[in-house]
Amino acid sequence: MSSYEKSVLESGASNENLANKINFSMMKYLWLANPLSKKSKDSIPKFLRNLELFKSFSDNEMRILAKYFHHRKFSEEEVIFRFSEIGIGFYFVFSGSVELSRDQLKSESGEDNFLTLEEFDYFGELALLQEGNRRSATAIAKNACELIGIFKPDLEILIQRHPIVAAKFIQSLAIVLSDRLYILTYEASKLAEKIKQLEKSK
Amino acid sequence: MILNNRKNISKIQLIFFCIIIALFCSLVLVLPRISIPLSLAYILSLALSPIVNSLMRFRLSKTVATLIIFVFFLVAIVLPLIKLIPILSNETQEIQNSIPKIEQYVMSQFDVFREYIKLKTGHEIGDAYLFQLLEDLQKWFGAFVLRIPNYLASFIEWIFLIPFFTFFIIRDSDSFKKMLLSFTPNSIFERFYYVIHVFNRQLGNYFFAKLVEAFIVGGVITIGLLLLDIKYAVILGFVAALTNIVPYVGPFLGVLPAIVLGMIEYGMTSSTMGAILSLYAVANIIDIFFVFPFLVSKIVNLHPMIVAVSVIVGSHYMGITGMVISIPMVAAIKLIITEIYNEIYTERSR
Repeated sequence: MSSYEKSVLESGASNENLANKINFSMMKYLWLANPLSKKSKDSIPKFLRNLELFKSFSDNEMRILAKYFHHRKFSEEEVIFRFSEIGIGFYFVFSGSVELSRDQLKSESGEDNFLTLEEFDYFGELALLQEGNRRSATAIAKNACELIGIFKPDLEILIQRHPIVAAKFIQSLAIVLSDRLYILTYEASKLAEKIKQLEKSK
Repeated sequence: MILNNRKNISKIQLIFFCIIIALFCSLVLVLPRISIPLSLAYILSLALSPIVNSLMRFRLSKTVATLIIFVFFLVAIVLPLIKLIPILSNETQEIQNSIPKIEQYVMSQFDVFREYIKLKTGHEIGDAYLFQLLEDLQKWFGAFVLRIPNYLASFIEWIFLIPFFTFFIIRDSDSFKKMLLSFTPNSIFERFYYVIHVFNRQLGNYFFAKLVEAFIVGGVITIGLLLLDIKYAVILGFVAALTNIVPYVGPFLGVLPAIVLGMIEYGMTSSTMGAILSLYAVANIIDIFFVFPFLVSKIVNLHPMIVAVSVIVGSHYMGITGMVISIPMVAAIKLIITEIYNEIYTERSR
């Protein structure tokens, strides 16, 4: 629930009088609550608003970005993409859950999957950025699920039409990736130290 | 129930998708009266989309951006055209009037040639062939003149239809694309989206480059001919720009009318004729060495032999239209084959 929705509900619950001035958040709430407005159109920006990834986006930028997303539906156990396939899509889980697995992992450790993604999780961000990206895992819909995807062609057009939105989007992705890279480097250095210690103790 | 099985559903989706695509393709093939302006409008919209995209950077909506382009083209093309049409019709009139002159010229040249051959070899060439040829030409020209109203009718239809289609294709391309993608089956979605995107980009870039190339070559030739103060400068430049769209063969087609008209007006060996020929040579050198390497060759990565063969095949089946669209068609086929090749070979080997 967004902030204006909450504030309106709270003031209504405590029997407070609503302000005499034009209350923009109130108007916005009423506008968005309009039963005639197309709900499906609003759902993508609303969904994206809930993501930590896009916290730096303004409402208008979010509206522009949302236009470039595609809504995809997958039935139970349908394959979203396979390991080592060439990929171009970056997906968010809108509803349902997605299972990531790797055949190699299965044969080595006997594990079936290494990650289950729920609502608001995302996967496949490397495919959007890398040239000729090959999927590093297989993604299968665990149950009937809806995904929201943005693809390389969309990003190309977004860069040409709305460079600022595109830059913000890529920056958000870069933050996620650099965080991950930082953790990886940290882990790798720890591992290297451990190997050194092991070698010394031998 | 068949629909309960997940695998059946995805199969049915795939079949449904293929049927819709096949239906659309057959409609396009069956109705050439609609499909020709529609495909021209599609090509135009692709060539104009970079301009729309850069206009949208200024926070303009797509409709406004499209309208701006249309107003600009109206001013930039229609206004000069209105001024050009009297000149063009004047020039065509004059060319028509000089047809007997051409005939006379050919006859006299033939006589000279025959005398020359007789002197050298002692044989006399019959002139039956020549008369037959001239008669055929006259008949053909007469038939052409009679059919002009027909051409004009379809031309006027096109003049209204093409901008109309182009406007809506540009304005609504995003929603068309979303609609098409919304019923694309999941199993081929990413690959299909990527292929149509690359295909559209290649086609758009190719025709944008060709448009610029035609403007440059036509402009250079028109200005040069005007400076040389040659009759029919504008119409010759226009023809050169149009024929330049056809690769390899086009420049030769473009210079032919100039040679014929130059021969009649100034004679084969005059200095003006030399100037005209060198002007065409200069325009084509500019095209080959400066415009082509920067614009066209980067976009269509095809071997020259394949280009030549595809132009010949295109002209055989669809005439001049075939010559123009053969190259992007071949580029598209190459793209699809490469994509299928990658699918079959590269992935399995990993």
